[in-house]
Amino acid sequence: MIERVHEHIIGELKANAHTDTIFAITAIFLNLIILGVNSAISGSNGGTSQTIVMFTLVALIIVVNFVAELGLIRGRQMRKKLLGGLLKMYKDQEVEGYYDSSLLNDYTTRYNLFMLAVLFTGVTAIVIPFILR
Amino acid sequence: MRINWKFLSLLLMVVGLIIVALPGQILAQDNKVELTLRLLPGYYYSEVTPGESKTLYLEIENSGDKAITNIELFSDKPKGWTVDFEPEHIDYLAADSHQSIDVHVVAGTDTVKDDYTLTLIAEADQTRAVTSTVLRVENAFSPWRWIGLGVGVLVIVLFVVLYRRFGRE
Repeated sequence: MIERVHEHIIGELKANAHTDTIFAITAIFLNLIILGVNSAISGSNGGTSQTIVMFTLVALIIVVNFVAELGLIRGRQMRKKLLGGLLKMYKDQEVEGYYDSSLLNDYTTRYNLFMLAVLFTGVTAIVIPFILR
Repeated sequence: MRINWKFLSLLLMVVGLIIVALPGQILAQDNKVELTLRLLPGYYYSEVTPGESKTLYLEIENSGDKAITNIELFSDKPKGWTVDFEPEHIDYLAADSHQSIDVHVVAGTDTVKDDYTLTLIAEADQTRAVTSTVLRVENAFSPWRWIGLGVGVLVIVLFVVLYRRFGRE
């Protein structure tokens, strides 16, 4: 049974990593695309309709980044719980010496860096077109 | 005496053509009134800074066959702008002659960054001429810059709140 639980946790960890990668890449990709589009709009002598398009895309950046950041925060918490269970299991099986618990902190740092990258590409995509306008 | 009818008819045709065409040509030359306004190259898309004077060089040319009198120079300008011509009035411009005019443009201090069309008009007793140029206002106060920075700061604050609210282990 313990082997099934172990497999289940490993499967969950894989799915978690996959989902978080999608969150981060999608948000960064979208931020860069909108940065290009809004910069082009601000470079042209836009009228009211172009300003509306610009603000709509800014709203899209905010929503997508909010979802991505929330997803990454939850992903980080989920990974920590799963790894906590895995460590407990290794401890019970007396093989915990093979898994360094400091890895948990490394994962936290990595997630924070992902969130920072998403946040700052988002802020850049919002601010740069307005400065160029 | 033998009359050469062929030569006579040809001569009559030539004389007739001269009689018909010459006065028309003289009349057309008499009526040719042409006034041209031309900005010197490089002044068709120039940059201006609000509150600072920018001089454009304009040339007015009488390319017709008749002198043009009482040329008045004025402009159709954006609101809040000042446009002065030097000279503002030309009493007499002889045929096939031209004159240089300095145009001093000052964009209003509250002008926002954008492209503006300035139309320059010369109106004389006989005719009028119009030319226009696009002036780009740079270094102007732009509210968009502050709006962008404001939204950026708001997003960072939102993230900090989100992190503190949901990021607890």
